[in-house]
Amino acid sequence: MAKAMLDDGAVPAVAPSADAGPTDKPSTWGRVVQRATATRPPSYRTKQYRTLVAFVVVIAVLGPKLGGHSRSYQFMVNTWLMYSIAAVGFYWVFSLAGRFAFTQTFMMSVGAYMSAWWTMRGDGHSVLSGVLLAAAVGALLALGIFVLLRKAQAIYFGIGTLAVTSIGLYVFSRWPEFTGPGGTKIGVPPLEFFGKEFIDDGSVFWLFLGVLVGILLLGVWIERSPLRREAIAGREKPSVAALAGVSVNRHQLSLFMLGSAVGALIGALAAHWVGVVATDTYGIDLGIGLFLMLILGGRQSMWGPVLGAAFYVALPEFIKSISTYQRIVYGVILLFVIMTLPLGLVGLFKQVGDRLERVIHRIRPPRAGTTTPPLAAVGPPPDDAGLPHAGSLLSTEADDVER
Amino acid sequence: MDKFVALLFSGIAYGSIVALLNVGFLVLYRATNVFNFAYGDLVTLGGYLGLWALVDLNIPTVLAILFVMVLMSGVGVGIERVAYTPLRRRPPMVVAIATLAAGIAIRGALAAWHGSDAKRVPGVFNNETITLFGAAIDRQRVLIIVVTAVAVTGVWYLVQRTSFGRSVRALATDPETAQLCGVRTSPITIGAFALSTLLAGLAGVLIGPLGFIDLDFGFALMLSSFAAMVLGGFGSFGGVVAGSLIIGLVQQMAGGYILTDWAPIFPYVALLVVIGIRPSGIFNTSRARL
Repeated sequence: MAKAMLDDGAVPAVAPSADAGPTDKPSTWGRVVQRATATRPPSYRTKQYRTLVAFVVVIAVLGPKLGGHSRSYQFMVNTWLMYSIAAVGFYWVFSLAGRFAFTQTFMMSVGAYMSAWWTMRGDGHSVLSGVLLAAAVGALLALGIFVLLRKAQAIYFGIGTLAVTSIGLYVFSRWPEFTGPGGTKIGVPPLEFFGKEFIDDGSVFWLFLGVLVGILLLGVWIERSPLRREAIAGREKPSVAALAGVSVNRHQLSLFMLGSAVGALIGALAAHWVGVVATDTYGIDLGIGLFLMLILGGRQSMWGPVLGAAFYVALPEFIKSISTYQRIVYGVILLFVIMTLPLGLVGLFKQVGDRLERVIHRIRPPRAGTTTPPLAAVGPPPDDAGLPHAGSLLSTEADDVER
Repeated sequence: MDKFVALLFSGIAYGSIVALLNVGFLVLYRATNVFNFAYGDLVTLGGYLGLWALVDLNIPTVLAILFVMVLMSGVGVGIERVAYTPLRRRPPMVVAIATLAAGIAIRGALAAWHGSDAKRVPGVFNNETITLFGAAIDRQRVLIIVVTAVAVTGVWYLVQRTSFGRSVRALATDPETAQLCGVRTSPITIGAFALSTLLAGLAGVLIGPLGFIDLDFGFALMLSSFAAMVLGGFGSFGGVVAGSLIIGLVQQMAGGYILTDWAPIFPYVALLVVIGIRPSGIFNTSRARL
């Protein structure tokens, strides 16, 4: 009977021992068994870690196989890893924090130029110090931007970040002491950490995979922490969340700084990988591309940007014959996904998985004492899930415009 | 003195173009609550359509401008049907992203059609100038100021004195009540999209002859228009016009007398200052549309 209750998901009561009186507490061993076998809430299960491990194993096996075909494929895989890292950072800023920001590509350029400048000064600074400095500068810059735009909400914040990006890229194009002549820096030192050089794309693959795994692990910890649900509460209902004691601004600032630091970090790594930094590399096209990755992949899960980045990198390979119309294809696909797959590819896979699970349960009769999992809610998923404050683009309260 | 007059006219001309953009943007926003991220690309499309009409089709300038306006109205209706109507009941941010998708597609179509090289649009005056207070003023700039004044006045009249405008203002104030009172949203939204893209195309055709057009020139103009909207106060018709002129004058005057090389970023700096101090805008005293 206890097993049946466990299968149902209920917390079992530990059977009292024969000698126990009505007021005796369970034994120590009893309490351990109770805790180990009790149904845990989703945030405490190991599913997220298992997913991460499965992802690492699959990519570690498939990545070199795919890259072994040709150098261009290896470059493509490395580019996917790079974009995934940047897009996960953008996910924290846009989807979790709810900040409609256009600064991610600018942060990548800041990281790239900062690390290139630091390591090329002639003082013998290591690439590691350059990369870490780039991430720190990205975070500090994000802090400054957030403070400057603290009174702006929703689309005003987005416009402000657009202005910051435009100013920043313009300054970079006219600051030869920092960014090189015409905003182009060549001869950036190659990747080297702890005496090991990462020059060929095969070794860069392992480095980028390691960084992505680290970022995703951080993402898992965020998913399992109160930060995630409080950030979502602050995004959806900032006034109510604030009344409930959530530090909305602090959470949004933390995620904005974290996402920007990640952007700067990968920008720095990319600069050392490619060996060249230019302002064109981090222009509006990549900014829209990050948006595309997040929307296509799914903005409700940190795996969405990873999936979206794979789609974004792989698509040009499939439409080589019509590469002239690539942007049109991107626009049409984005529109299609917005209309038919509001939760993106991750949402689609989840729906397919849920349906398969129901079919399996129908085919295989449930064991005695277990129940068939309830049907998933019929109907479209909430549209505004994963979006910044889903009310008016400007504000739903006059005092939200200025705080 | 001549330099001051020349910069003054340049500033007013640039501000006029920005005002034209903002008026179209505002009409669309008030009618539909849509923040159209494709607006910059629509300006670029207008410029390239003007180039096509003037160079390839060899249409006289005035007719070419009218031709572009008609085409752009059609484009606006197309965007309304494809990117707005299916998503009408979704949150505004979803529609904004859909307009971003439309902008990507438009930019891609332009790249496939004309490539990414900068092109020069022939003007009706062939760079002729008139002399005012000793300053040589490009006739194209005078044309821009005159056409914009007429267009903005026309839009103001449309919004304030016609049933279409009443419907737009009703939807801007309270969409649900407006619909309950019989305001038909579909013709209004179609009209708003058509008018908005028409004005964007007009801006592209007018400003094209002053320099070169490429895939990004409309985007830069859109950023300036955002700055003007924030400065003037989003939702205020007079405010955005005033903000547009201020942005134009600041850019030209400040760029002409101090830090000439940094003139293009002055509107963005002004935008940041206003957002940091008073995001609702200098002239806006009422709430933005809900």
